[in-house]
Formats: sequence, structure tokens, C-alpha cells
Amino acid sequence: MVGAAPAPRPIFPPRASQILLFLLLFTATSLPAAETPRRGGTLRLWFPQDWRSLDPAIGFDGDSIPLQKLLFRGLIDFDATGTRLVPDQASDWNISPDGKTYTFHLKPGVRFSNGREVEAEDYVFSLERILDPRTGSVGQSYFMDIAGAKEFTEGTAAHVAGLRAPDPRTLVIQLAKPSFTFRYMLTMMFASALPRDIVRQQGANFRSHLIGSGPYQVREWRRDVRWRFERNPQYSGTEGWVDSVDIQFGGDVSLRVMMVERGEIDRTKADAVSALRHERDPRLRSSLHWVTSVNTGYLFLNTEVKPFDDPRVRQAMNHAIDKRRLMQLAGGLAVAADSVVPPSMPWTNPGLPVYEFSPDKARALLREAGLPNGFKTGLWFINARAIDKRLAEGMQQELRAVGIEVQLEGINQSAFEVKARSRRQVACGIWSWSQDYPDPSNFLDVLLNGDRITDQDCNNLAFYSNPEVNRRLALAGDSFDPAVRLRLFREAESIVMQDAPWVPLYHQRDPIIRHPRLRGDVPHPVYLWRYENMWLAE
Amino acid sequence: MSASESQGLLGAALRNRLVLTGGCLLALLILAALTAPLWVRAGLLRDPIQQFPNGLDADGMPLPAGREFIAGTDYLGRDVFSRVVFGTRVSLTVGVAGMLTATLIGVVVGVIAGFHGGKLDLLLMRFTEMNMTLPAILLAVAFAGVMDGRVLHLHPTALPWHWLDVKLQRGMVSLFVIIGLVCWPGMVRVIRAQVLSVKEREFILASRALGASDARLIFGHILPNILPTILVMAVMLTASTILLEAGLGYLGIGVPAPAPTWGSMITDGQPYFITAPHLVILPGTAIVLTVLAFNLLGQGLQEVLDPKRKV
Repeated sequence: MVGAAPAPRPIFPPRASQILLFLLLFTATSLPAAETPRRGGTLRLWFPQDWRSLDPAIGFDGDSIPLQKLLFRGLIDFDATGTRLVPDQASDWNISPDGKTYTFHLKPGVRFSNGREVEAEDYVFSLERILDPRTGSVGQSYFMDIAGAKEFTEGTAAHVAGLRAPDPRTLVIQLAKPSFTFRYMLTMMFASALPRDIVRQQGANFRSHLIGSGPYQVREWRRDVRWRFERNPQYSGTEGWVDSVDIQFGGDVSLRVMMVERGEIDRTKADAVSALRHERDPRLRSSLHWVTSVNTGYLFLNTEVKPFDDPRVRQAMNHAIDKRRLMQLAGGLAVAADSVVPPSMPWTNPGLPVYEFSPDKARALLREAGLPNGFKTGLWFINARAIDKRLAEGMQQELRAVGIEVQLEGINQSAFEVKARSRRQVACGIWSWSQDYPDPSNFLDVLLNGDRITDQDCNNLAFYSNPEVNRRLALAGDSFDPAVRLRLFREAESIVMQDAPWVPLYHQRDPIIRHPRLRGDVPHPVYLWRYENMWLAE
Repeated sequence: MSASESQGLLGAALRNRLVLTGGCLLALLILAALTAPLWVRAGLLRDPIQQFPNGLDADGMPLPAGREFIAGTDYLGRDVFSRVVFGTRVSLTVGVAGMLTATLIGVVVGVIAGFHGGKLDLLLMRFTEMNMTLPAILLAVAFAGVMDGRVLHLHPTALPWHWLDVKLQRGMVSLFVIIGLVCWPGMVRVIRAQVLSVKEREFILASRALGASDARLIFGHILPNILPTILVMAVMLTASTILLEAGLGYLGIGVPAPAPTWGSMITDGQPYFITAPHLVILPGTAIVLTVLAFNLLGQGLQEVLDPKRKV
């Protein structure tokens, strides 16, 4: 959301600033329409480090998804508002009245970058590949509702019974039980069309020979050095303005920001210091843009590990942490969170219990829980996430004030994920989750449903399970009635906040530094940004 | 060494400008390290790990030097001056303890190799050279990676000797042990060479002929004769161990937060080098001064203790 920074000294009264904000938003979104986008040029980008893979089954992070979107396409997509589904490479689809059968018809003439036409059998293959444990895809759990998925993953069936291609242009997906959110799963990169012949031939080597049906194709990949994408001549859609995309790696964030200032690259994510330097400098101010991601950063308290198995201890943690002060440390890159589901969802829950900052209440709760002298614990976080590191250091001081001695354990992302996703490994830690699709279940059901707890690769990092919550989430999953679902999700969120398996900390905002020649860089609520809509002015 | 001889050495050392400068600098640093907590109690310094709510400006940025915080604050609103002063404690403790560990290993290996000779000498020296081929910082990073909170059971599983359990965790002790373990090889070659030359001198041969044991030869004759070399090398080595400590702190594998260490202060201040350069300059200067002090002292001692100087 452009300009939604928590301005410390408001220049305009709230109402005037809201109007101004609206005008800013309006002009920002109408800019590309007013100017005619120009085709051509090279979009130049730099990132901190190369990704493990841009294979849509493997890469699953905020930086790589918008890039994967350039190479791979699927059946349906989100529109610019990020809430409505529109056809992408399917011409139409319908859902049976019982909500269990999805039928898609593919657009004719859609081709992979090697020239072969996309067939329904390619989708069957791609979805089976996601479900196949040998692929090692984090997307597997999203597609377990498909009929026969369980038998296939357990190895008792050679194919997924619920995936069929009666003819090359028709795809039928049969679910084991009705699911409102399944349609959203099909917008994720996991459900992209892959050329089955090439993937079978390449096997694990596919990541070096990526071929999809998106507007661009890979021309060059040198690991940790550069990716170069060029226009896919077979692509029939309109988007994809620049001729090529050049991605390089390295440097620290201040260096990348200076490269944008010098016109060496077109855009980059900034840090708090560079963002502020741009905000304070009238010549640089116009190149700074804020993007609010639909995300919640939180401190998970492992409910299976002492002393966090006692809800009073978890509530004490909620009272002991002064989020407003922590936000000062975040330097404008985050706003305080008091809920599980981010308010940018859009989502409101008026009855939600909120924990005020009160060390006295925290101490009283600890006494009640039989820990009058506090306790010692480790607090885990990902070292490379600057904001998490800062908040951890801030919390360390606040928790010490109520007698909780915290040892900071900063490690790298992959080690963190393996550890925190396994049972009883991490007592508490900082993690953040961004939406995959605009539905509260993407937070409540994925992160807090006790019925989805697994011993490894678990998304419920607090290993929190309350039958009352689980039951409501199951009901909401089956229901297609928006009012009923809203009520169930609100109730579930309120119970979760009462049980306090989390200390919700922040909703993130990303400062983007953009060169003035770059146009059409409009934030997207789900993908954050879409490179295929960006173009370069003369 | 007679009493008058050692008095002469002390006088010579005090007349040496290098020793004098390095020594004074070091004395100041040691004084700061020892008295820092007293200053806090007297209200002249602040608690180095306290995050002050008024230590950040309205945008959450660190404050420049001013009346309230004489050297400004860092990204969490902590007093930079207090952190630099308290950083002396960490730096000197780890640096000196690391040096002692390295010296102990270096002297033991060097003396054994030089005195014993033969196959053992060959084995020890090749092992030392193998260690020298690995860059110290790389080796230290690898060692630090092992410190992940696991418990090492050094006793046989059948015996309940739990006092032999070692918990691998990050902290001052593990840090100086790590530094000691990577800094010893440089010492060994010099010590061995010295032992080899001393061992062949007439008075050693005479003692041996009179029936002195190996232990007596080593502790009574060889070690006192190579002590000046050990002393000079140890002082010079401290400069490297302090640099290594700062380097590891910079890489985020030094003494864990929130302890004030110069290396980690530089890392944390790095994003602010345009807007608040003092965050990097102050701890950087502290490192330079400390390393300089040890180097000057070492150089000076070498001049004073050099036997050829007297000729």
C-alpha cells in the first residue's frame, strides 16, 4: 500500500491523509493505463543469493515465485485485486454441485517454449509430481484433498485416481471431500503445467532445463552468478513487455540500493536505513515505494515443550513483550500484529482478545504457573532476516525484566526449517507466513490446525492442537457458505488467541527502490509484484 | 639470569620507546576493562546491554553523538561508548586466554618435537604443517559450527562419569579454546628450532653426562633459555588472537548477543555506515589500538631481549 508508513509526525490530519493516500493509490494504479507500455529493453535485477531451484515444485519463497511466474503458467490466476479468480491457460472451468468435481477445458494453441502444445495429460503429470514423495515438494500437503492422493503418496497406487484427462484439452479433478479452498491451490506455482516428456527425460536435472508455458524462457543459468530470461516466442498472451530479464546475485542491500540510484539496475528491496535515507532526501523520495505484504510474523511457543505446555506461561509471554517498542526497532519495516490473520487479508475479528503490554500481569501469570523466578529458554530465529534478529534482541531485554532468561539462537534458514518443523526440537522461535491465497484458512488451518500436525515438515510450529479449534476449521473447510465460514474462522481465531500458542509480532512492509524509468510496477496482494507487467520508459 | 641482569633488562625495556608506548596503551586498556563495572555504578557509564527507549529517534534510527549519549547509540538504542569500553573486557579476556591456550599447545608440541627428535618429530612437524595450510579463520568457523548445544559424552557409556560430559555451546570459554586450537602451529616451528639449538649446547651435554633426567633438562635448562622467545611470540600472538576474535564476532560466531564485542558491533553498524558512521568507526578504532598495543610491545620486547643487541 503506497505511502502507508506510520508517519511519526503527521503532516496531514488523518482524514486529509486518507484522501491523499487514495489519490496516490489511484494515480499509481492508473499510470500504466494512461501511458502506453513500451515493448523492449532488459529488466535488470539483483538479489542477495541464488535460489535452491526455480522448479515450481521446489522454489516456494516470496522472491522466487514472481520469477517462476515468468516461466510457468497454470489453469487459473488471480486478477489485479488478488481476490478474484480469472482463467489463465484454461478457457473455462466448472465445479460440480457437490463441490467435488472440477472440470477444466484448456485454451487451444497454448504452447511450451519448446513448441509443443500443452495437453491435459501434462497437468495430470505435474500434479502427480507434486504429490510424489520422491519429488520432495513442500506443496504436497496442499493437494492431499484430491481423491486417491493418499494411496498414491503411500505407494499403494501407481497413479492418482482423482486426476484424469479424458481428452487432450479436458482435465477432470475429483476431490475426496468438498473443499472451498481447493480452487486457490490451483493458482499456486505447484499447479503449473510442465512438459511431461522433458521432465521424465531430465529427472532431477530438470532444474537446469526449465521449460514452461509462461511469457519467458531461460536462456542462461550460471549457479550463484546469473539467470537470463528471454521472451518465449510461443507465448500467446499479451503481458511480458521487456524483451529479457537479467538477474544477478551478491552485494549487500545498501550496495544494491546505490546501484538503482546509479541506474545500474531497475529495482531492489531495501532495508530500513536505505528506505529512510530515500524518505528524507527530496531528490530520492520518488523512487521509494512501500509494499504491504499479507503476512504475519510471530513468536511460536511450542506447546509440547516445557514450560510452554502451560497456557499461563504462554499468556505471560504475550503480556511481557512490548510490541510498540519493538516496532520502533523495526524502523518502519513492520506494523504491530495483534491477530493471527493479517488485517490486509481483508479480515476483521472484532471479538478477538488482545494482550496489553504489562510486565506485572506477566509476572503474576508466571507465579500462578509455579514459576515465580521465571525460567530459561532458547529463542530461535533466521539470522539473515534482519527484522527477526532485531526483534529477538529487543524481546530478550523485555523477557529478562519478568525473569525469563532467553538465549538467542540465530541460524540459517534451511537449518531453521528442518529443526523448527520437527517435533519437540525448538521451544520457541520467530517465523513469518505470507498468504498463498486470500482465505483465512491459509493462516488458521495451515498453521494452527492440530489435525495437520506431522512429526517432520510440520507447518504448525507451535504443535498446537485444540479439538475446539480443529473442529471449527474442519467445518469451515467443508462449507461453501461465506457467512458460516467467517463465523467459524473468527471463533477459531479467538480461541487460538486465548490459548496463546503464538505471540503475534508484526505485519511486514517492504520498501522497494525503483529507478524512474521502470513503469507498471504495481503491487499485487498475492504475488507482491508481477514482473511481466513492468516496462521500461525510453 | 642474575638479579642485576634482570634489573638491567627491565631498565632497557623501560628505555625502549616501543615497549613504553605499547605498554602504556595496554595499561590503559586493562584499566578500562577492570574498572568498567565501577564506572557504571558511579553513573559515568551506562549498562552496555540496556536498550534505552530514548536511544532511538522517531524513525527508529540510532542517535548521533550528543549530550545524553556521548558517542551516540546503536540500532537497538544502546549506548555505543559503554559498549566499546565493555568490549575491551571481552576482547582482552578472549584474546589473552586464546593466546595462553595456543602457547601451551605450541610450546608442548615444539619442545617434544625438538627434544625427542626422530620419528615423533617427523610426525608432529608434518601434523603442524598440515594445520598451517588451513586458514585460521576457516578452521575457526568450522570449529564454531560444532558448538550447537550438543552434549559430548567423553566417558565410556557403561560408566556414569557425567563430570566428563562437555556441553558444546557458544560462549567465551568455547571461543578462546577455538582460537587457541587454530593459532598454535606458527609457534611450534620457532620453539622446535630453539630447542634443537639449545639441546646441542655444552651445558646441556654436561648435565646429561651428570645424569640429569629428561624432565630436568627440559624444565631446568631448555625452557628458561627459550623463555624470551616464547614471551615475544606470545605477545605478538595476542594481536592475532584479538583480531581473530573480532573477525569471528563480525561473522556472528563470537561471544553470543547481547554481549558487547567489537566485531559484532561493526557488523551491526555496517548498514548505517552512510547515516551513522560512528557505529563502525568507534569499535574499529578500538580494535586497531588494541592490536597496535600488542604489536608495539612485542616488537619492543624483541629488541630488548635480543642477545645480539648487547654485543
